[in-house]
Amino acid sequence: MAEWSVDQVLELAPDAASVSSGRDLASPSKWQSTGANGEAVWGEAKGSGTKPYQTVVARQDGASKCSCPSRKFPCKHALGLLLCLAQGEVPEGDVPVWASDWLEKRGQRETAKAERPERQTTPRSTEKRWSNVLKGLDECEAFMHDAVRGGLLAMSSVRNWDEMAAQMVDAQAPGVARRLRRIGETVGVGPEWGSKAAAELGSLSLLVQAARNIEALEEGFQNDVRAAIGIPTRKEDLPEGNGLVDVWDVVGEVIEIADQLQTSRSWLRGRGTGRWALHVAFAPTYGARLARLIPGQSFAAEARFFSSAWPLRAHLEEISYEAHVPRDSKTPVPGDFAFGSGTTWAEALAETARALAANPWTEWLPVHLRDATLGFQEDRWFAVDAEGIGFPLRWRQTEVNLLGRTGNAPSNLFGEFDGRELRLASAWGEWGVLER
Amino acid sequence: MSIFRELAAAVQVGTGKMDLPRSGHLNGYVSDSREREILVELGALELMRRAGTTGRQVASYPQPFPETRRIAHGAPLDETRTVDGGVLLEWIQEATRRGFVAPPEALPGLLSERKSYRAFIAPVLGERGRWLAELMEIEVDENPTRDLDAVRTSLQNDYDLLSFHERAEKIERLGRDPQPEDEPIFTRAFSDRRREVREAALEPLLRFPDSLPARELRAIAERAIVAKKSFLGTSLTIIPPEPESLPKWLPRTEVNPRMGPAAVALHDVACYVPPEVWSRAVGMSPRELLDRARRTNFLFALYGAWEQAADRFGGQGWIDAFFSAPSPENWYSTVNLVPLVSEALFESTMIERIKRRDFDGLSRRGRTLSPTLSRAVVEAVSLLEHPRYDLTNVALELHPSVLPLIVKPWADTHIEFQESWRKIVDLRARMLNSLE
Repeated sequence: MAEWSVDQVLELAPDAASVSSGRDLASPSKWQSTGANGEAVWGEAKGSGTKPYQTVVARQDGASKCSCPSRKFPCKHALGLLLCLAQGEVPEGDVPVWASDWLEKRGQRETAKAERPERQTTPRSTEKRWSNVLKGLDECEAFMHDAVRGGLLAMSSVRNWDEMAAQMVDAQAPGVARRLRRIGETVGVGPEWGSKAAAELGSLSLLVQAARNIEALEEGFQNDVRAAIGIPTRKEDLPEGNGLVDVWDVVGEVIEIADQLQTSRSWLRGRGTGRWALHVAFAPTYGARLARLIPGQSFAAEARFFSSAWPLRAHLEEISYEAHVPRDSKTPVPGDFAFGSGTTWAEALAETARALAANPWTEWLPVHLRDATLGFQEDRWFAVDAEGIGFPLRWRQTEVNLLGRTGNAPSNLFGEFDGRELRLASAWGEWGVLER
Repeated sequence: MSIFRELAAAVQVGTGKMDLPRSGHLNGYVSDSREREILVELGALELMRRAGTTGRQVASYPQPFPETRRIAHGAPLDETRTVDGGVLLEWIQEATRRGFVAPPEALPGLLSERKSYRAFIAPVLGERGRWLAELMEIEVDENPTRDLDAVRTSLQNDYDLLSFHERAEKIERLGRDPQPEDEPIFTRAFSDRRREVREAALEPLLRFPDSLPARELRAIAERAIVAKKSFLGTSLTIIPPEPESLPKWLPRTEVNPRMGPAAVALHDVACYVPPEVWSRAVGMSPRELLDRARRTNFLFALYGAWEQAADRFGGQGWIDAFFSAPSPENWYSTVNLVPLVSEALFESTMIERIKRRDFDGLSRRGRTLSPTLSRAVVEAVSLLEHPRYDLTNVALELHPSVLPLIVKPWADTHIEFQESWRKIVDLRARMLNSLE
């Protein structure tokens, strides 16, 4: 029977608002009835209508179903129910019919999935896929050329771009689809949209050219092109002898939800080598618990890097928590949370330039600034280093929480940088640790 | 203009409409397509820009003044969201009395998520809290009376010198608690050149019965309702105003399938007229008017509008009438008047409802119930076959004096209730300990 801790439940929450709403429901008094057995936990919560909301959560992986109209996953009811379970406040009971129906159907789906023969990737299927991709890229390029010839001003309808993106999904190039949708969301929106859209189109055009000439590229760079197009990497593709054994600190994490998929990007830094590694985990939004690494964790492991012109993404093996450093966001732990010494923007930008020169489609790079503060200019917040240089932040609740905790005293800031703005993921200092 | 901007501008307009000279940046690149050349050049320039970005000089946002009062480190303010029962308010009062301020980690939540407490949190914000409120653009009234005097004086003396933003903001603030001497200010603002200022002045001005908009709407309302006495009793005739005849400054609702244009016009007028205007016009009490309205074709239009008006303008008779009158079928109220119902009526009505095992409304009172009502709840619940649900749902509102009544005799059914109380007691203790 899978046990849940409060922390693990809160990590399922898609955003900070869900954490808060889930906590509001973490009390038996908010539930009309609750119960649990080895397989699931269920409950009926009072809602705004006359009928209570019915929620059931599978204990093994946190998959849930709720009759509430929320589009978030998991919803606040699933979170609240799991929190009650984690707090030992749900009695054992007999599963009601409405919950057992869902559990049964779920079980049937899992059985069917397990019995399905695993699709083997053969050279021929790889070739076929690549052929589909190239055909799709031809269509994409023709579309881009039409857009450029006629002018983006005439292409401000998002539907145009979404339709071409759907074609790219059919062509098995989801990475290209994502870029097209992003361009569609940019056209005609906000100041400087013309430059932003033109830049994205240019980058996509380079990708198309690179794909066409992939045979002429070095192996690592070939993989980067495939990754940018959206062809998934597999553990089987990991090169032999590419492992790096170290004690890894999980410095920060970013979770994104798009296209019914949750993606967790956890950034790790090797204590001995100072090397950065990116651990990526996926889970469908309708289903399983995302296998995340929590910021503040530390463990020994061998990181095997996927082949790339600028290797960042790694698969972790032989993980050992003996070197674990306990995490407590309220207790300052200076020294233990050094995560390396941090840099200024000048040093980070030099690294960024090298990374982009190697792999032009690198979207996010890890940046750890030391003695950094926040600044405000032209209606935007900036991450400012010890030398007074700043880059814009993607302003979310994390920055407000940071300012509340630090009073803008110099701290370590960690985030993902795309060459234009920093997405803050964590921060720490003598005042403690803050993540997301 | 840089080459990138020139190319980006061409892409916006359409390269088919312009003749762009070749820049010569990609002399080695040959293509049979001019669009491809342009896009590849844009991609290359964007890559160079990202790789060569240098950031900008940004000053750190000034830190708050050092805190002079004691900080209630460890106060679990976040947990008060799940218990309510006035625990947070109690802590705020006690912290203020003892000279404490909220801990830094609680400030963002206190400011952004606890909107209903904004009127009370000012004394425990401290220097950092006030600093954070300012940068989050959240208004916290530290000394409401003094602040409003300053606002009043500013509008009286410097009206023409204020920007329209400032005027609208100050009018809105003054409008939260208008005094008799403020009518000339609102009258002046109501004829301001800017719509934002006029809109801010409308609602407070409507509270002055002799103001122009109040008189105009009152006249429309009085014409819209006619009572006819006959041997069968008094009947009500509703004559909705012509939508085109309504004043242009009146906020309008979209016509929806449930209400036609005439009903919507009636509704929009009624929202902004004190409800006693209607009862005076026809010589009926609020309760009689609510009953009669059911027999008209404008039930939903009037019911919803009168409820909003009761909330907006007050009128204890109307608030109590809404509470005591049975709701019409298919009626869904969006306004919660329960906290405003007079104490005597609430008590007498709820005691009767509780005898019928109807506990709806108790938890919406928003404050602790009287000992009499609390005892009535406990006694009624003791007679239920399954008392657990109902008791735990009102646990937080019951008067503390009834706790001993619940300890026995239902030893096996009061557990969840006791758990709720135990949580409150425990949380209260930890909250108060943070002030030692």
